Amino acid sequence: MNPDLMKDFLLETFPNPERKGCPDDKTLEALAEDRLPAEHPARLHVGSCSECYAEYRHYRLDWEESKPASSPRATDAISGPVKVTPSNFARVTTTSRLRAVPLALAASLIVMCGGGYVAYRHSHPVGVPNVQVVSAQPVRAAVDLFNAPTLRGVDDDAAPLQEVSLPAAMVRLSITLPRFSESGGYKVMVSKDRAGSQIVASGAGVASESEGKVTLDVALDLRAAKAGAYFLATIRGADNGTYYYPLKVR
Amino acid sequence: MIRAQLHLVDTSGTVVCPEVETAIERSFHWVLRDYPQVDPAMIANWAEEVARSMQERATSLVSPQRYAYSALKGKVRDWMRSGAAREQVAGIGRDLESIGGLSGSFQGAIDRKILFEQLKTTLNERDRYILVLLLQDKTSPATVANALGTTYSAAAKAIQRVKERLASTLTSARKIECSQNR
Repeated sequence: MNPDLMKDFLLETFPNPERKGCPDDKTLEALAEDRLPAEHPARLHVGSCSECYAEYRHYRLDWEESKPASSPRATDAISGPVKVTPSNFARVTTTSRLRAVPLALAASLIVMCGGGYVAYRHSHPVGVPNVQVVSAQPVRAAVDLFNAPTLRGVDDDAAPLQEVSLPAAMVRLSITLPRFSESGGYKVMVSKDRAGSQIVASGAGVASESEGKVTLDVALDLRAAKAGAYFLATIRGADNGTYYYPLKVR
Repeated sequence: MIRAQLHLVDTSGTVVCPEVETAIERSFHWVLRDYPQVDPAMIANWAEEVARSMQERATSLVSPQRYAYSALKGKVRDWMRSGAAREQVAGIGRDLESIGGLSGSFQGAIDRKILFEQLKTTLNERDRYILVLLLQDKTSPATVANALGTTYSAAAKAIQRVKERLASTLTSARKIECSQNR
């Protein structure tokens, strides 16, 4: 079979200058690059339309040229394998060597990068990332502020404060309010500052007196709080009196 | 290299739009591949002409790539068709032209056309697609079976059938040619 004659047969015998029933460029390109399924109708059309075959052939050749030189060209394969004879020995071996150079370079680069990566992983074992685990289960916590000095307002911070520590979770908090606190409705807030502008969590409850101590139970959702320093504020409903205590979320 | 050979501007000297540029450059490459015997400088000149005309109607072009390839190929074909009338052959020009692929043999063209018509009647649509695959070095039944969505044995038989049909057509054509020569 003469491939040139067969190619000319397909290129000349089925003229379709008006491109009736032809698939679009992208389909032909996809077909040439073997990206279309076997049952696609464009496949059979290519053998029956000289214009489409011409485009298809060029897309195919472009694709083959863009691929690495490791795969043989179609035309080379049609005409058979290259025979090494004394007359073309130098050309064939030089070409083979020239083709092998980039491949060898790529292979050595891959080996070097792979080895480096393995060595790096060996010397720097991957540990568990420092992820803050947030629990959805309520955590019971108790804070005893009975002997804590209170800070009322923004500027009154003369006395050292007892720091409260809570987990970043749903917290069912039981607060023993400072000495001389009154029972009644309270609102509790966790904020970044004492101005109460960045509230992280809030809750409300009714404080009750028992054995000389006033205790307040409140639920706080601290799941969104990042670990760090905050303020815990108690706001008495009767007179809106606000007291701040340092809080650390861990 | 191809980019450096083409100066793609419109009639006012402004660079053509990227779609036209890409289509022309790719078509230029394709036409060079189609007609290796034609002077690349001439093809480059025609490509620049096509780019100018395409830029004028850039908004109305449905497929710039298809338009560019057809237009450029058409220009080369026109030149080849009328070349014999415009050029005066002197010395060994005729031999050089035939070596380069420009054969003006009427008899040869007719024979070729007859052969292609015979092949056209011999090979059906499916056979022609198998021929397309064979020309791409997809000669194994497994590859053809995958492309046609058939079994391995059916593809092997189909390939065999195509080869037999091609052989019978070409052999009969050769016999006719031999008898005419006698």
